[in-house]
Amino acid sequence: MNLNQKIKGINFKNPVLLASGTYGFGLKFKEVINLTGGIITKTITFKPMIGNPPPRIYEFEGGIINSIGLENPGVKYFKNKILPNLKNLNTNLIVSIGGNSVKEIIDLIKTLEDEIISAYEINLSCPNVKEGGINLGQNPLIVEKILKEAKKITKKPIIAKIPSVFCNPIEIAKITENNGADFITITNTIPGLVINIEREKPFLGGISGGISGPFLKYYSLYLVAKIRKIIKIPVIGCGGIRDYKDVLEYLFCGAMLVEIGTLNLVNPFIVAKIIKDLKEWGKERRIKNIKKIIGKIEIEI
Amino acid sequence: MNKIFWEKTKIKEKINFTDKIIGFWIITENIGKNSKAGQFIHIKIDESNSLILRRPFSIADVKNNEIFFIFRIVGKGTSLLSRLNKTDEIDILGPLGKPIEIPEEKDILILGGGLGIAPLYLLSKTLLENKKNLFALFGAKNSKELILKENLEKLNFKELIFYTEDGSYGKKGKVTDGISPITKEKKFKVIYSAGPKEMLKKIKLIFNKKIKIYGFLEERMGCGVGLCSSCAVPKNDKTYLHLCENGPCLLLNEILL
Repeated sequence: MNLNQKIKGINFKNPVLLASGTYGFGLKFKEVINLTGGIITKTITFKPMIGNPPPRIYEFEGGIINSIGLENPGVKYFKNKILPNLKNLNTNLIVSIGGNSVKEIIDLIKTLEDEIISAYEINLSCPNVKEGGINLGQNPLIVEKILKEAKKITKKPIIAKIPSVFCNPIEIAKITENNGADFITITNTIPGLVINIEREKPFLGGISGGISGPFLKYYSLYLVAKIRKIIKIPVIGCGGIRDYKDVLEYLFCGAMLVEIGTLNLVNPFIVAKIIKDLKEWGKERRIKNIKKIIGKIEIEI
Repeated sequence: MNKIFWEKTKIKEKINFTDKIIGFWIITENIGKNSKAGQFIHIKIDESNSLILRRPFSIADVKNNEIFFIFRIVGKGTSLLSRLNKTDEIDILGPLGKPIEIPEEKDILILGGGLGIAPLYLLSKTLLENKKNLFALFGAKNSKELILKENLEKLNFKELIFYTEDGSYGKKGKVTDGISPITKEKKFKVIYSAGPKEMLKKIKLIFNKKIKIYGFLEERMGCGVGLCSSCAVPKNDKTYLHLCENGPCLLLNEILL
């Protein structure tokens, strides 16, 4: 099965992308990254962020809750020290960007603009920072402003990673489309809380965290199926993928691309197997092109 | 970055130190050959996904392609792991973490408590191969929990003193009780330690700030390979190190314990 797709001017050798925050900045496991359709870096903010105090991760049956707090070295360091080491990547480099304000996000894009980046993914939905993050994405007016301003200053495609709770994700999706987003990622982690009953306080150092992992697939898939009927821009499905079968579920529901996240923390090599299995599956069924299966199932919800 | 391997390994030998403390010798393809003192392996215990994340274990010993690690049953993960037996498979990533750097100083003090003895065994062997003079204090609750004592006795320590809290082996007391006597005879500039956090805190308080105190730390870990930034350890300047990449053996002088 030919997995290659050219979408919005970007060539994706297959539909599997590495989700932001689960594969660092692309400096490690380059041989694995090169097998994927692209890597979305850990979110960069304008200024460096030290992240949240530990513990930063909690596990439950069905997923994990993380509270990293957007730890990153800031855009200047990223541009000067990290990007030069990514020039030899043989796949798409998508930079995840975030911030506390519209201005910060715009300044960030301005700083990066000349570089060898395939697209930006704007993180409108990180639940792990006190200001900005999910709060930006939940406010339709701010989403509108970010996209309008961003489109004015960049020719690169913009992916909007939208929040899916504490807002109307359908409304937010429409706004991102109407204001020039080229892709939409559904969905980020959703907020969660764990209490340490012995210490009578929240378990995570950052108090609340973002829930991800296998359980999230069912909600995310529902949203993908619903939203892709309403908007025309390509949808990237993200949430709880464990194997090629989960990838197929997203593709059948209309996602053109998928992101793998939590699974990378379990095994940084597993994405290679998923891509291989996906090819095999198509070959066995004599499906020539991935386009034949995208959105194949009509779902009325 | 050191090369990391993902392998299905096989258990060669299971050692029950006590009902709760178990050791496994596992046969690897490449991980053993590439493992160094200070590193760890990351184990996927449950394939059914009821335990999503891997669990990290310090490497206690290496023989060619075989790795030895020891754990105490403390929760669901270690309980499931303890049920495995000879010839069972274990899914591991490794070797992970930063190998220890061989210090310039000739005389080194080694302080190990409880399961902390495990990583210090391979560390001691490595330092001895590098012609260092090792002075070691190892302790545990009782004789049975004093893991690897026979193996340690075979190594060429300049001084080796065991402590048990009930006095069932070696001297009665804790490792930290032995620090004052041994440092009266000899002044050390480098210390390697591993054990409960309380013990490491105490060690840090006892010694002068100019003495380099290395310690093996534990923290909730995600990927174990430096991708997710979950295993944050606070430094004195309030920024964070990542245990999986910068450790697990860290210079405690820089760390907020």
